[in-house]
Amino acid sequence: MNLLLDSINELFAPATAAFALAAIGLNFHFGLTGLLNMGHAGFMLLGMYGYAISTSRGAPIWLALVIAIVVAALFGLLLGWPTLKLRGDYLAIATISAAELVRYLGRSNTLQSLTGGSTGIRGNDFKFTFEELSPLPDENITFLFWTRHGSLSSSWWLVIVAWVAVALFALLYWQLARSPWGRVLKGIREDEDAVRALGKNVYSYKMQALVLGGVIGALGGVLWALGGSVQPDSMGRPTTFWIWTLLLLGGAATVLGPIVGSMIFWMSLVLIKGLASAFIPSSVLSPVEIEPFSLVLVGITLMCLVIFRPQGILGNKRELAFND
Amino acid sequence: MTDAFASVPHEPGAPKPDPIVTAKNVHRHFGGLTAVDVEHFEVQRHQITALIGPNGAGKSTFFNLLTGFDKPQTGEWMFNGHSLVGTSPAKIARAGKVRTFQLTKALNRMTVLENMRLGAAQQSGENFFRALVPGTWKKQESEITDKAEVLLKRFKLWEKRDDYAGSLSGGQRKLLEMARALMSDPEMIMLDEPMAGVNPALTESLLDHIVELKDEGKTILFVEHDMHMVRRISDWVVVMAEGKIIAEGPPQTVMSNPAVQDAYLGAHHDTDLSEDAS
Amino acid sequence: MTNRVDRRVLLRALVVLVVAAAAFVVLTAMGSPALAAGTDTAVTHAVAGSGEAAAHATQAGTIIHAEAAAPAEPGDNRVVQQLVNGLVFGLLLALASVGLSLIYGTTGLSNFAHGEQVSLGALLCFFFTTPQPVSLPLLPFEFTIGLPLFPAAIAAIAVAAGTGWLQDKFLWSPLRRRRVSIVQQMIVSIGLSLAMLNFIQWWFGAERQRLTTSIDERIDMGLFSIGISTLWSVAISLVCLGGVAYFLMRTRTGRATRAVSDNPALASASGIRVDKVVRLVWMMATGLAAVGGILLALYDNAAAFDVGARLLLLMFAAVTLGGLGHPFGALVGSLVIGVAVEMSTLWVGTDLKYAVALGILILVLLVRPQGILGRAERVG
Repeated sequence: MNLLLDSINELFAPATAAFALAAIGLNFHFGLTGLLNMGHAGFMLLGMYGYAISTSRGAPIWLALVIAIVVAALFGLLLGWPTLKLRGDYLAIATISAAELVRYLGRSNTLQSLTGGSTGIRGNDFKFTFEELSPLPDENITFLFWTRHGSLSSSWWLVIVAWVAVALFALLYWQLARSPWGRVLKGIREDEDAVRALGKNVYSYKMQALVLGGVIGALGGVLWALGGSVQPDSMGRPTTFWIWTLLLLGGAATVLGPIVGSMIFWMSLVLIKGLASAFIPSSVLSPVEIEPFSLVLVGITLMCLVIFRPQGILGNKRELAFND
Repeated sequence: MTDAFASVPHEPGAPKPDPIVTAKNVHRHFGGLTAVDVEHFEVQRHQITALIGPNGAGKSTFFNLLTGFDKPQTGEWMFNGHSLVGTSPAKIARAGKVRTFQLTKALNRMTVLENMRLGAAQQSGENFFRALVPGTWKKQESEITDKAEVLLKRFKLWEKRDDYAGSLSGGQRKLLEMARALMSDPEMIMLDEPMAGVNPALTESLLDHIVELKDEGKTILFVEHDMHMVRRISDWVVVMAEGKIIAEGPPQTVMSNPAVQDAYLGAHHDTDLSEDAS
Repeated sequence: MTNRVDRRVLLRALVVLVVAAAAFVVLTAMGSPALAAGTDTAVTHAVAGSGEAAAHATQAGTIIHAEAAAPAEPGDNRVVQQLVNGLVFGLLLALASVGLSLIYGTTGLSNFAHGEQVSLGALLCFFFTTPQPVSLPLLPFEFTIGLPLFPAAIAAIAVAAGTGWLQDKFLWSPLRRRRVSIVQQMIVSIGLSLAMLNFIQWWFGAERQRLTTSIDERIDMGLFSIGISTLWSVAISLVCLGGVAYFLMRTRTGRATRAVSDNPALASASGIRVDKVVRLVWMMATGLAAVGGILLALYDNAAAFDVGARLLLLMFAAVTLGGLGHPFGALVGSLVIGVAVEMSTLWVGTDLKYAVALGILILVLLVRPQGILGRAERVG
């Protein structure tokens, strides 16, 4: 029973919303435009740094958000400029490298006073501007079965803001995907040269998609940071791969796919860990082994999804997520 | 022979009375291999010009150069009097010169109607910020849809409008690609092997469509292997071999040119050059 | 055309470089107040394997030499020492990159799970050689193998090559037969890497494991010093790489492999059994990755579950630098990356040395995406 409540709690946890938002960003890249961005965690990390560093230096919340957005947009421009003209797998290698580059720089001693090196930035250093805005009481609140603090850290306040943000950006995706703009992106996903032959500036559209998706990813990073802290190593390659997994799980190129995918992903992780520790004796699977065990399942899920059901749970069978 | 070509000599690189496309000294090589080496080339306005030649003659490369999809080492080429050197394929298309592809590029996971709408030029909703406000593009969108409807009916694809383009047959895709190219009202259409992979039932209607386009005042340049089609619809034939233009002339006479027969027999024994158009 | 670089491309690269450098300088300047305090901690990050202390660039760009760890080091010419370290590291890296490049060449797949093959090799060797009791995942009992290092390494390489065979037989070959697109295959390899990474962690834990407890004796060569077992590693990797070169250039199957790399359809039409060649390439690649993993584990004194994952991007950098799909390019690229990584510690912190390699990779993609030895074909 507790396990069930825990996993339902995970459904609407801020982390789930943060990943859903990041996945919406990736959906602009991959689902709509077909860009193989394998460095999404880099965008998220930059958003986190942009927000946390500017807040800890006294910036008001709106400025911190603007800085997070600008940093991610600049990163997208810098990254897309040379690589969007290359074949898809080059973009994958370039993005994954650039994201790791950001992480290495962030955790290096050289930038310690700015980024806090490998320990990162403590939550208390940057969360206060957000928490001060909370209209909820400053105490633990129990809603049905679940208790969270009203406004501190992983609070009800954050839950509300995070899901409102997710809903807004899902609406944005819905609106853009059915607009002529989204139609051009879909055309690019299908065949760049055909779209070029129809007189569209493919490079510019790819850049717009890369920057927009990257900015949304950065906002997802900010949500993630507001629920915990800024920790460069939590935004390594595995994070990017998780976002890919949950996007493909929910269904790329769908409006609700990233959200459903994120919910199922996080809930299953809690369920698997809970069930494993409840039913598998610790002589077979010790507590420290449960985490890697569940992530092995994530990897296998990703493989099976791509092979057997590339359209995901919500995807249209004919509008597959991959080119032939 | 069509009147427009009355004064044109039957020789490689012959100047035309009213050229829409002019190319000079276009040279493209890959490594040490020369793919295209064209001294002079002109396409007459409002006519159907065929570009033929044996395999590996450089037709497709030349085609890509003219449409901006490939860049030559040297040379200049003009469209409607404007130089196109260094111009991107998208700009060339916007200037009114639209192409299709040998391997059809129907956008498989989009519906036939969406394919058509994408072909329209100047839909302001393709701008990111306007896309956010449907009011700014809804009206235009319905105009575009009306236009697509007319074209789809003409190309007999209207019943398929809500199907994914990937589900169409090879010939239907060719038709869709041609119809899509017409959405932007181009002055000139460049068809890369329009008959490749089309079943015989559709061949005739495809040919009729191309002739119709000419009657509407469009200029057509196409690359083709199929001699039957070349004889049937082209007004002027340009023959390439080993990257160079070796002969030009009306379809009835160019085939009897010894240089053309040499080029074809050297590389392509099975092509029947003598058979008359049916 | 092969040697001409588009001026616009160069310009683009230059601007990106300048922007990146400016950003770095600005960030460094902003981070400088902590640098004085940070230097102490930074210095204790010893350069792996060499016992050299790290030098740090200050905001002014001057270099502080911090001779902390090895005052007895006779060769105090750090440039030469780092060059030698870099060449050694590059040579070991090449073992892994050549396999990655061979797979790319014959199948077109950018295999993101190749890093895990390196970790697997190293930790399998640990599994066979450690005198402590070991266990298998999901099996609730422990046992001791404790083979001597050399037979353990052979066993590890054999098992690793076996995983290559299994993978191709049950995963990649069916995917190719179903004509699954290359992008899809790439994402499958990402899933595989995620699964293998965590499987290895589950099996061996997160700690760094030592393959041997003996301490490497260092020989003074005047300008630099080098460990005896490192020399052995260099010799072994040279033999392996020589073997690959001989195989590719002189044997029938090797020539078939190169033919498949050039043009699979043509190779298949001319009677080469592409699937056989690809299976062999998978076994070779995973086997070589295991050799590389074991030698790197010896060179670094220990290996953890994520050692390969850290190296994966260096391998990609090396392979891209040399030209995707060119095995000899991968060798050259690895040496360049190895030297760049080790030499960079003369100017930037050791914790940034991998970042340097990634910077080079991005730069290469800007200027010459086809790599040093690659043909100037269209990649975009």
